[in-house]
Amino acid sequence: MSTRHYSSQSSSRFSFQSCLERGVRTRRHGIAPMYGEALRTPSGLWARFGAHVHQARFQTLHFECSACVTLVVYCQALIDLIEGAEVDASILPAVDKFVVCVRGVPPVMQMRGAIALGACRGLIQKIESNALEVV
Amino acid sequence: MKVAYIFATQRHNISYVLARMILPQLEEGRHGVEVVGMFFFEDNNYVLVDGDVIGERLRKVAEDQNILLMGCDQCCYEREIADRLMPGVPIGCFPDLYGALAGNMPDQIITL
Repeated sequence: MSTRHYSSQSSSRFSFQSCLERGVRTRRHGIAPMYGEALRTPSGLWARFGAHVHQARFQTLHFECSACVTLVVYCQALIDLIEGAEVDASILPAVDKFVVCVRGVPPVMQMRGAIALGACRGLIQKIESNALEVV
Repeated sequence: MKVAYIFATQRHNISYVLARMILPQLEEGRHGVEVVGMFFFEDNNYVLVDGDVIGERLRKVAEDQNILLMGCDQCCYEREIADRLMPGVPIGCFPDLYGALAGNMPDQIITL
C-alpha cells in the first residue's frame, strides 16, 4: 500500500472550493483505459472512477458523476488521497474518516462521500478481477 | 392553495419581502395560502445561519406550520456556511428540493 501514502494524508483537511474547482474541470475531460461499474443510488446520484494503472499503481485517476457539487468534491478529494498509491482496496479510508476530510460539509450531505468511496471500490474490484483473468 | 417560495434575487428580499411581509403574515396566520417550502439562493442563505434573528423567527414558523426550509448547497458552500445553518435545515439542489417537497407538493412555486 501505500500505507505511507495514505497515512501521510489521511488527516488532511481538503478545501471544498479547491476540490470543487478542480473536480468540475477534470470531470469534463480525460478518458481512462479502464472504468469501474457506476455506483447508483435510488435518488439518482451516480459516480464511477477510471484509472491508468502502471506497475500496480494508480498512475492517474479520473471520475464521472452526477452534477452534485458535494459528490464532485468527494470524488476529487478521493483522487487526491489515493492517486499514486498501489491498487488495493486497503488504501481506501473508512467512510467515517473520509467524509470529514472535506471541510464544511454538513452531516446530512456527508453520505455522498460513501458514494464516491463505493464507486472507487468498484474500480479496484474491476482492476483486480481483470488481473486475475490475466493470471 | 399550497405555494413554495424560491428566494432567487438578493437586494431587499430577505430584510423586506420575507421579514416585513411574508414572515409577519405567517406569524399572524393571515398569509392567505399554505406555504409548504422556501428555498434560498445566493446571499439569501445567510438568513438560515444559526443565530440569525430573522432566521430564528422563520424557523419557529416553519416548525409550527410544517414549512420546508432549504438552502442552495453550492451557494452555502461558496459562502462557507453549509455547516453553520440552523439545526435541521438542509442544503441541496433541485433534486433534493423536489424530493423533499414530494410528500407535500405546492400548487405554485413563486420565485422572488
